[in-house]
Amino acid sequence: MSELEQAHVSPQLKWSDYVFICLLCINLIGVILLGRNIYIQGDKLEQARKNAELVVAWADGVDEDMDAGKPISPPKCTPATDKDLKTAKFQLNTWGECITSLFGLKGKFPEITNTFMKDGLIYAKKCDREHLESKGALVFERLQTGPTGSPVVSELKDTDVLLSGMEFRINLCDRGFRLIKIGEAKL
Amino acid sequence: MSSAPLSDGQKHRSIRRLVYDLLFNKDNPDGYSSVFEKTIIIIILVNVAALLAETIPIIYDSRERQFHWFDVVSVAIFTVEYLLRLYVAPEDPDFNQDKLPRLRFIRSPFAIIDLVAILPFYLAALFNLDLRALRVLRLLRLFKLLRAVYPAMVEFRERNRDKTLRQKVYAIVNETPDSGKLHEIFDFIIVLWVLISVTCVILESVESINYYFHVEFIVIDTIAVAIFSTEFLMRIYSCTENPKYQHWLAGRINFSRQFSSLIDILAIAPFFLESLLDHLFDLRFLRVFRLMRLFKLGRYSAATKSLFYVIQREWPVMKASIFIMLMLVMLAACLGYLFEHEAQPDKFENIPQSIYWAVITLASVGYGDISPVTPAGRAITIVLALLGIGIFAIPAAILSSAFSDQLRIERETMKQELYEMLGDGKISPEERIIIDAEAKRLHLSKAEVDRLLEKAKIELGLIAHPDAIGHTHQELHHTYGHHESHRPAMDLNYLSKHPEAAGEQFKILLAQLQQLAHSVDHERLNQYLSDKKHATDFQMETWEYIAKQTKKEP
Repeated sequence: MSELEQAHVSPQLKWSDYVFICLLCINLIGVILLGRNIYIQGDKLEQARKNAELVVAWADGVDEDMDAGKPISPPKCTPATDKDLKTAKFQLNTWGECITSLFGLKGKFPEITNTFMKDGLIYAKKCDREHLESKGALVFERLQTGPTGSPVVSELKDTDVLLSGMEFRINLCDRGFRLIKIGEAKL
Repeated sequence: MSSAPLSDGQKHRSIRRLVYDLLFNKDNPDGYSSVFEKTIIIIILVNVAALLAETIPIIYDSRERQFHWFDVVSVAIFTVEYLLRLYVAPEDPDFNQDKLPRLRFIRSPFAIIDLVAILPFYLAALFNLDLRALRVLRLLRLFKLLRAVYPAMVEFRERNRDKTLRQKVYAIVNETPDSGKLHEIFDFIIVLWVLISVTCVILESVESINYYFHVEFIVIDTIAVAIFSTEFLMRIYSCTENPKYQHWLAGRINFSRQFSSLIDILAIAPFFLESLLDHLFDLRFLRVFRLMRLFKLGRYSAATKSLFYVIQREWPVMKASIFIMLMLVMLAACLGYLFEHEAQPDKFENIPQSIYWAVITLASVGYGDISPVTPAGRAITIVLALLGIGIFAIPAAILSSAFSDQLRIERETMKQELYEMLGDGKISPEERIIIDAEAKRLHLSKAEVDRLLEKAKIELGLIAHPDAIGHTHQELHHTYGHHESHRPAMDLNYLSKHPEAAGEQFKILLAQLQQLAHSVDHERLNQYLSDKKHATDFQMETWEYIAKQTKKEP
């Protein structure tokens, strides 16, 4: 090595340089891993949204089928019209029966599962941080017109009778246990 | 003067030289090589963005035609660029040493990259290729950026050959004499990602957009955090190179407490906190802090730096004015509550609610949702509204006056720097670059800089004084104002190093003394100086000699 070359040799790396390089690598790996995790969660949310959109589309179809006088699938989700209510023989369907037949093994949407957790709920009464299984679940809320004319949101109970024109909102419980509105439908 | 007509070959060479000088010669200050290079970089970046956008069906499906035409136009521009480079290769010092400069150009790594960037398009037009593979190949256009990055890296390596890793990192993240173009590229990347990430944060808040691009926003945010956290680590690691933060621990802690470092932390912290603790707490509010990334741009604006400095400097005065403002708000709120509570118990329910009314009135906003109805309340409002105009204007006035003061100080500093640069009697091209950059920062026009330079040269005795070269009295006034006595004294330090300038200065001083001897009342002055309390013997003798000589010379 010539004298000139020797004069231009970069100084040796010190231990602090190695610490810095290690920190850089750890940071990059950490960000990539966390980013990957968020991406996977985002992807699951995307899939859950698509599932929820299927339910919204089904609910919109019920309204159209009712207008066209076609049978509703599943039959347990057939809402009662004013005419039906006057008929003593008409079997009133409840929300609990409808939702069970929708997501049951032989229901309308057997392919829909909780995308966030294998054993998670497909649908839940509310999005609750204290009930971890509600993460990724569909949450249905009843929409009613309040005294001032603005919509009032209330819990859709299993015992609620399905009535024609009943409005409800379909939400999704995301990974942070927050409700994401997917759509509104009318039976 | 007429010149001999050019032959076809000479004409061809002159056109080639002209094209090279205009578009590719970086040493030509009148050329457009920098503009050309930046345009190509922007087209490459837009190309990459378009390529990524094509993978999103909701964007691509309805705009397939526009994307195709954009690709065609981009390839056309890149092809023209390649052909132009090939054409001017004999003029390029990198290739003209070779017998076949164009062949040498074709074989050069950058030319191969340029060709690879456009070739897939033509191959697809000629052969039936898989479009997905073609799309991936278009990513190769990104390598064209190497044409800008590689020379900067080489330059940086050359300049920082003997430096430690920490010094090199410091030179990349901070502007130093050895930073070079790599620092500019580093800054460009940070600014670009600040703008991209802030745009995404804003768009994310639009529900309909977030619905479709949720995953894309996650990817962009992750890349932004990777870049910003790396930048922050680089700054923390290298800050000890700054004499202000020399201690390995205390220096770094002090550096972390700086406003700009806090902004850096706030720019990345939401990502880590949200991804680690999201299932425990509702941390949606942290997303707003990602907008703080915009403040990172303050580091790249000299005007913002000056403003922060001014606020820091004027903080005691500002504090006093804020204190007066608070006192007035509290007083107004109490009076408002006192006079209006009974008349409007729903609006002036309590003092906190009255504070809201007082602030809105004092700040001259006047929403009108709460307004006084009693005569006393209205009378108070009139006084408040009038006072508000003055009180709220005080901090603004303090800041604006301090800001202009700061600009004046900075311009004075620049003048001092000019004196130092002129120490060797001339301004080198490197010094000229520094002057231009400083002038840009201080919003000085070229004419103003030239005037400052001329003034500095005159004061340093580098060029003749306007009297000496026959300038009119009016011009002298223009330079030094109404009184010539205001002409600044020469720097003794400079004079001690430059005997010629010292001689000239001596002559000026002597002329002034002679002028004094002509006009002063000798009898009274002699009487004054003869008193030992007023002048030494040497001073008295010198004065007598000058007075005697002046009498001899009419």
